Formats: sequence, structure tokens, C-alpha cells
Amino acid sequence: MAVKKFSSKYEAAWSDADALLLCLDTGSWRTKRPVVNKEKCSYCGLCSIYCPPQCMVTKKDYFDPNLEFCKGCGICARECPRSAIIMMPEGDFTP
Amino acid sequence: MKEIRFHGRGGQGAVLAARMLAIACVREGKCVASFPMYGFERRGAPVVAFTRLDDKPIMEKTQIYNPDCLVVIDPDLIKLPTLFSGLKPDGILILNSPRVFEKQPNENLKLAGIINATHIAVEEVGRDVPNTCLLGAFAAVTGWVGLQSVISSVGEYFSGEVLRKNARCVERGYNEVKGIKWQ
Amino acid sequence: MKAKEGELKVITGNSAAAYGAMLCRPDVVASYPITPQTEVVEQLSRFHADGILDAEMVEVEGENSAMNIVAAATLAGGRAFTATSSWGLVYMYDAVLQAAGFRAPVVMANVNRETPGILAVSSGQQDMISTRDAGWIQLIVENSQEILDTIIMAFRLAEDYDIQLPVMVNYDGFYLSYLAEGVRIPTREDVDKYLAILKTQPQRTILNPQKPIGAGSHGILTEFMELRYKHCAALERAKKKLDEIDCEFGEFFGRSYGGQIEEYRTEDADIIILTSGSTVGTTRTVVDAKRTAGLKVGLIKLRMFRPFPREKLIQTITGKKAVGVIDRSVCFGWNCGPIYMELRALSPEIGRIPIMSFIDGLANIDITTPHIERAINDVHKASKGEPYQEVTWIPLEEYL
Repeated sequence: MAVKKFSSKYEAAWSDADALLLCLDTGSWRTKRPVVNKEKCSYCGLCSIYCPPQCMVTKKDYFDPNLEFCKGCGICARECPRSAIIMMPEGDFTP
Repeated sequence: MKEIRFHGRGGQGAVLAARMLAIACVREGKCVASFPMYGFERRGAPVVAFTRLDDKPIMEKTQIYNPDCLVVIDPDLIKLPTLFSGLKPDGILILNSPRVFEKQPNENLKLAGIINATHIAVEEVGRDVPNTCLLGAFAAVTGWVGLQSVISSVGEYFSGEVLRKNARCVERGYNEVKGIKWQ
Repeated sequence: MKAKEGELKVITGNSAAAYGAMLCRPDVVASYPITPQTEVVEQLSRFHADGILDAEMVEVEGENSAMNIVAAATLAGGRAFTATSSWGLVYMYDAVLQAAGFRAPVVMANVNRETPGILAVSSGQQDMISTRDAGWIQLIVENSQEILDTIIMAFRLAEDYDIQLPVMVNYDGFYLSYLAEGVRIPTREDVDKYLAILKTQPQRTILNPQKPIGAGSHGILTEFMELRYKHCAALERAKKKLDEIDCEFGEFFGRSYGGQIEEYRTEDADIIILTSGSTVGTTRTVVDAKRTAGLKVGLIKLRMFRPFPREKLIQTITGKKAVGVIDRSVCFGWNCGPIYMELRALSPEIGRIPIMSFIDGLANIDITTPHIERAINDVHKASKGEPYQEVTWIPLEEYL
């Protein structure tokens, strides 16, 4: 009764870099999320420069986090010179 | 033997909670075995900790598939589809949540203790570390370990002001937990 | 004379390893962190910082250096300890071979984790298997108390004048490394007393500026073969020595583990399960349940892996109707479990009975009660003469 049915299609320790490498769902790791105060934001771009996964997105005159990848590290809030970003518990946003 | 499964996220103190419970039980002369399961060690990763307590030495070294009690440290995890897998009939849930629910989430769940441990921790300690408060709630709802044993076990890890604050969390968890029963 | 009971603390397996090492007063500790061993290094550093451990703590940039340092330290006459796992063990491979060839009595805790090839941060005995021909003494333990006690016994064994071989103490990553249990910590004075016998033995050959020697010298032809012969002979002597050491430990500390193997309910058993590590704990409960149901099954806990306890196993298994071996690793090239393959080599002495291989528990797959029940049922069927499958990869078959 040799094993005939397998759950993975690969012969060896290989994986699809296209599917998995670039689209890892890191947003689900978050326990806090950055909330940007649009009025306070001076559009300086420091948050975007410091963001490790580069997920601060330019909107017309302020920056906003891409929540698919934002891990909630809080570096943007720390670096913002206008204190325009606050880290809020993720639990506050889920229904 | 009682089997308890802790569910949390890396950084919330799930492993520490299981460890403190183990110490509390050993202080009462019980036998304990507790271990966590996680892959890459990072904040936010799901963590499960398995704790067994008994009057005689514990031999099993497997994960817990039929828990008598679930301790859920992250409020979001209540939505995990596999959370209640294998829960024994007359199962108990200890949940950190700002909201109390009325509807029985699983037919084997007969008793739930709900406490806003995050809020209490932030008030008493200044940080979102709900684990000590949840242990107090656990002691109150299950009665499997005494309040003083839990407080003394916290003393293994903290001292001075931090200990005093965490001891307050344990007491508040013990006194303020809301119990819900179903048939 | 008996040792004091010792303080009861709730500590993890890793912490128990650190305590065991600290209590033996090593002169040199050189260790590099790696999951699931990191806490060993952290705890030893904590002991050192608190003034409890008076050792030369050498901060290394990698495991290869760590093994070179501890091997050299023991050759200089000191007591040395290190700890590692999987990738770390593989990184120090040449130094591991050197340590054995030099007959350096190092004690190393190896926290079992899957080896490179498939990236895994999870439990598995493949790392131990990958170094089985390194010439080390290899022990495997079942719980946190046994980790602490066996590390003490490991120093006693490694440094014994008749042995002088490095000893690896293996315990399952995740299942034992992070398992918090109540552990009795012996006092340092009692451990000193237990190890005191080593001081009464003749001085082993060590590096000495007054009497220069070369350690790790060149060998060729007959002399090379003689050295290998002596090394093998020393490994053979280690079997009986471990049994004696375990007895002495039991008499003094009140805890003994059976030496090379532990036999659990084997005397009147018809069938046997042989396994090692944390799996033994779970298997005990399954054996008890099966016994209550009327099935005469026994368990052999393999504690000494190198040297392989052939005499003990032949003695216990001869006369039984079938044996199942649960391996937490694979034997490449034989398409079966490695401990199974080694047991099979004893067939001429044991007799032609079904010997069955069960591969399970790789990369954090849980070896659960139903898995072990499945193995016992299969061995039972084979013992009655029914056709059987030689090798079963339990989790994959369950999938079917």
C-alpha cells in the first residue's frame, strides 16, 4: 500500500515564487494599524521612506497605509514629524 | 486530567500564561506539562499552547485535540473556524473580549468566562498584556487552581511595581469575569 | 548516602539542559543560538551574568567555532559544554568528527530538529541520524527531568577514563525544548559528590606545555586502523558504563532510567514497540490502554542510540512475536526508518519475526494516540501471521 495520493504537486522543496513570494498576506499579521490624520499630514513622505515593506501609498495630498501588507510595526507613527499618525488596536476596526 | 488549550498571538504572552498556570498548579502539588506550538517566532503569529494538569505525572507529549477548556487571548481569534475543534462536552471558554455574547458558539461549550483583559491590563499595567488578567478569570471560572497560587506564580516572573500591577490584573480578572452558562 | 531532594521548579526542557550543564561546573561554554535551542544559551548566559556559573563564556560567530573551542578546551583538561540543533549541528560537522577522533570528552545538547534540505523549523530526529557515524556517544531522552539528569550523567560518562568520548544528549525540539514541567534541581554540592569519582581516576592525556603532545595527529596504515579499533572498542565499553552510571545515579539521586534501554511492560508481552524521545511518553499511555483491553504489548524506550544496545535489545526481543519501530526520521537509501533498519540487523539473533517500520512525526507532525494505536494494531496483526506492510508512513497513509 505505497502512498499514491499527495496533497502537494511538487517533487521537491520547491514553491511558486510568483504566487507566494510577492503576495504574502502580511496584513493579517497586524495587531495595530496606522491611522493618518489627513489635516495634520504635510505630505513630506518620511513615513513612506521609513516604511519597511514600502506600503505607504500616496493619495492626493496625504499618505495612507496599504492595509494588505501593513504589518503594524509603528515606524511611520514614530517618524512622522507632525505626529499625524497614530497606531490604533486592530480590534477596534473589526466588526 | 484536565487539558487546556491557549490561543493567542506572538507577543501577547500566551506562552507565558501557560507557563504561569503550570507554576500555579505545581505550587498546589499537581503535576503539569505545558508546551507551545508555533512556527517562525514573530509578533502577531498565531500561537497555541497546550497545558495538561493531573494528580499524577503526565506522560502524553502530543498536542491537545480534546480540550476541557479553551483560553483565548486575542479577541479576534473567537472567529477562528477551528477554535472549538474537539472541545469536550461541558467545555469551558475563557475569552478576552470587550463584548459579551449571548449566543452559544458551539454545542459543547457549556460555560464561558468573558473579561475585557486588554482594557484591565492597559488600565493597571499601561500595556496590552492581557495574560495575567485571563489567568485570574480562569481560576474563578474553572476552580481548577486557586487565586493565591496564580498570584504567587506571577511572582516568578515579575517583582516590585510590575508584580503589584500584574497581581492587580489577576485579582480583577478573578473578580470581574462575567460567566455565561448554557444547557 | 543520598542526595537532597532538590528544589522543584517549573522549567522548560531547554532550561533543564542549562541547569544540568551549570550544575556540573563547566570550565568553558561556547554555544551559538538556533531555534529550538536558543533558551539554553540564554539561560547559561543568565547564570553567568548572575555569578552562578563561573565559566569562560566564549561568544562565537557560529557553531563550527563553538565545537572547535569546546573540543580544544577538553583536550586542555577542562570540562566543556555546548548545545545546538539541526543546521548548527551540520555547520559544525567537521569539528564534530574531529572531537570524536581526538577523543575529546565534550558534552553537547542537541535539540532535535529537521535537517537542511527542506526548510523546516520543526521537530524531527534527522539531525541526530545525520551524525550517527561521527563516533560520538548518542543518548535520547523523554522529558525535562531526564534532560537535566542525563546531562549530568553525560559528563560522568564522557570524562570517564575508560571512555573519553564526546556525548550528545538528544531531545525533541518543540515537544521537549519548550515543554514546561516540574523538575527537581539537584544541589551543586550533590552533583559535585556524584562527579567526584572522576577525580580519583588516572589523569587522562591532556595538552600540557611541560609535556608537549600533538592532539589530532596524522595517522596512516596500521596505526590508523588501530586508532579506529580503539575508538570502536571505547564505544563498546560505553554500553556497560552507562548502565553502571545510571545505577549509581539512581542510588544517589533516587532517579534512574534503565541505562541503555528502558523496558516497559515487556516481560510477558507478545509484541513490542520500540521508540525514543518524547514519543515514549505518549506510547506509555497507549500501551497501558491496550493492556487494559487485553492486548499483551510492551514498550522498549531506546535511550542509547550510539553505541547501539544490541545485547540488551536481543535479550528483550528474543521470544517475542513481532516488533514495531516508530522512527522520527528516515533512512535514505533503505526507504525505511533508521532505528528500524538498525534493529533489523539483529534479525539473526532475534529470529525471523515480523519487524515493522513506522515513520511518523517529521516536521512537527504530532505522533498522536491514534497513530500509535494504528502501529500497535498493525504489529499485532503481523504477529498472528497475517500479511503485513514492512514500512508505513503513518501520516501519509492516514491521508489515504
